[in-house]
Amino acid sequence: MSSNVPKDDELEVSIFGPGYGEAIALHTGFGKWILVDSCLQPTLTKPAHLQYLEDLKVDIASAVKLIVVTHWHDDHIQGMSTLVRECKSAEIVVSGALRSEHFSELLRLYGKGTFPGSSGVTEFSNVFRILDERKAKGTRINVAKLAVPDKLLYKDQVRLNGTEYQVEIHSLSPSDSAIISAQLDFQQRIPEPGTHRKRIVSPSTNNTSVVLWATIGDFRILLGSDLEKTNDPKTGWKVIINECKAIQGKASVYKVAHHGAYSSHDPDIWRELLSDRPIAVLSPYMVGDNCLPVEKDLKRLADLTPNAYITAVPGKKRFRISDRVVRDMVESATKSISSVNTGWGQIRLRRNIKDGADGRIELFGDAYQIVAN
Amino acid sequence: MPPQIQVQGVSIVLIGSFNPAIFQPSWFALHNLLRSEEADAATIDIIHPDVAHFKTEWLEVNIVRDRFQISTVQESYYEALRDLAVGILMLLSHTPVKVMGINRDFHFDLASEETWHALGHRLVPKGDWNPLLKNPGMEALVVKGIRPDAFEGYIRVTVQPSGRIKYGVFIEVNDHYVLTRDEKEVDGSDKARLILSERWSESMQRGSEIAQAIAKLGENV
Amino acid sequence: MSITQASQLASENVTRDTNITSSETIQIDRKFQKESLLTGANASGFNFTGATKQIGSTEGTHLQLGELAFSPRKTMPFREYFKAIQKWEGKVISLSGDTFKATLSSLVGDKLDQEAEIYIEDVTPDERPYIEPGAIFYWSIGYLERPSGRRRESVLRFQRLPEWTSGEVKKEAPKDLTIYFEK
Repeated sequence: MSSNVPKDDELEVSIFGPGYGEAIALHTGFGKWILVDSCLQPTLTKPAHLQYLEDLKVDIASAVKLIVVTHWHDDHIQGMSTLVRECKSAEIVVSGALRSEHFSELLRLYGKGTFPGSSGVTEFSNVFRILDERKAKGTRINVAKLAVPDKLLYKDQVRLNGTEYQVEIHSLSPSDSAIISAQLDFQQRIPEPGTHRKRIVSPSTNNTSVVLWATIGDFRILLGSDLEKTNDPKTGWKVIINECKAIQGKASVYKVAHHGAYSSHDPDIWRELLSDRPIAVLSPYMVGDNCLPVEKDLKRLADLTPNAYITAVPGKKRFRISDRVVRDMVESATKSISSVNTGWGQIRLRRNIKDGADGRIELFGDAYQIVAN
Repeated sequence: MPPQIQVQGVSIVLIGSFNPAIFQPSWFALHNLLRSEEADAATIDIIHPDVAHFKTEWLEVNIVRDRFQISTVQESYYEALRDLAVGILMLLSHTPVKVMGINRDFHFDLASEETWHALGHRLVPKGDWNPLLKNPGMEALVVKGIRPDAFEGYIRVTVQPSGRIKYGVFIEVNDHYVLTRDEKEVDGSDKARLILSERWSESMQRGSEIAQAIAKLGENV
Repeated sequence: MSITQASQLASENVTRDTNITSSETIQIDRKFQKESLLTGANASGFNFTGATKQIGSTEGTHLQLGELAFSPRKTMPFREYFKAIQKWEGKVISLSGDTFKATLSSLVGDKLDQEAEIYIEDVTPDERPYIEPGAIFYWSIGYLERPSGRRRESVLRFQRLPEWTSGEVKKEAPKDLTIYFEK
């Protein structure tokens, strides 16, 4: 991996994955970074983008200005509390759906050592504990911002050769309807007395996830999180496309929603929100019955843009156990066994903020370009 | 040949105030902490207001009024042991618990008398002892260090010749946490539960690394 | 009772009837303890419960019990112990027919995470009610060493914690989360 930091006048968008999710790092100029979500590179314990910044010798405590947590469950926030603790100057943004009596109840029941082993709720519990510690010390950043449609989360200016370029990050979701339906979901997850303790299972739909619209100069980026399309015009992508006012112009870079799944593909995203032949980036997801993107998804992406990239090869690989004893035992007890998240990669886009010069895409690890057959 | 672990175990020790009489195998099964069959098959040595001691296939329980210990030598049950401690702390959340130890112990086979003696010489050089004692030999070494984290307590390592293996060494790593110094504080069990939930892997790894490093000291001397 | 007899009883865990009055046992232990303190009998390999521990010590006292105070080179075999080659923490994802799918995070052995479809019949019958999405289990594969010899073993055990109680999940006023968010 290249170890050079982006130049002061250079924008960078990097996506890392898979690792039960993905992580994104944005450089908005002059050493300022924004981090979205968190995932762990296989066999490592530090969030992938944090490790990347450390490798670039970035001073994480001061350089990271914003952390956005687009989900509340496992697959996008492993290591999030580490991120919050280390990035002491970063404002924190979470989904507006989490300001909820029922989510608070889930934190009380599932956070704080009542249940050994990590989970998304435990990470959130740890994040709030860090905020408590900061309050006690009188540290400035001791609350989180809530993401809702059209909210300005971050604003900055980059001055280059006498010209000022605006940097703005807006959230486009979750919608009011999604926030309300999330309350029912949280309530249903509160356990019944007399039942066994177990980890919270990630919800099957992701309507509370936070979609971001980033503007750096005249360059726009749409980070689609895991938002899916729905039949309800007040949730999913429809409400963003029809009602969000923060969307000005069209995005040249699209972090494809929900690992490229068809359930998140709305043709209006490509028609209304994206420039012609945008750069599309995504990471695969391979857990349980979900194996995304599938072949049809890759073909669809390749047909929509010649500039589509993915961080690793999707699909599960049969796991070859090295130890003979273990292999014999496992083969007799299982119908199948496969490796998850076998690949790992980074897609990095850099370009000059002023005029887009030196625009380049670099692929690291298992990342590759999706091409039409 | 590097030192080989022949036996290893884990124990969790709590210092506080306990009622040994309640810790019967059937109580564990009633609260879903052990399987009913395990509880029924337990070998009970004593259940008494002052002391409780019983064993199951994988678990040993030793409780007196001020000391609670559960342990196993079955590597497949280390996490089950942790969960057992967490479960007990959940059920007895108002039990005063002041101190907790997460302990790893190992018997290493050093394979040769030469390496065995070399380790003893390395840990306790005999130069200063020779004028004082005839044929001095190390019987026990205890070294304590401060904790590498924000918790109060220490890490204490005990090294002794193994009582189980000829030319073996016994190493115990005691990961000691002080939970509260105030007699009136009742949140010691909450803190213990938090540590067991969040620090278990770290404690296990630290114990293993320390023991492996010490066991190797007799090599290439 | 001689010290040797006392030590044998203490260390071999003689099976006794349930709830036998303990006075005899306690007398044995106290005698042994007192003897060991007086003689300083913390000889090589010996480590009796409480005898030489500092007050408040949390060191374990189970693995080095032995007769070494009295015969330094005699070694004492274990009844049995398990040595893992591979150990995973699993989380159930879904059930279907005679199998359940689970993610496996490695604790010992091959480090990469796996996903397996496991036969339900490989789970002990009384643990099958635990097989639900989100349930945690531990799966260890290795060797069980016994005096009679070594054998391969696979142990799959679900996490056991007390069930949720009505006191825990009662709808008391939850913590006010608004304090964590900007006004």
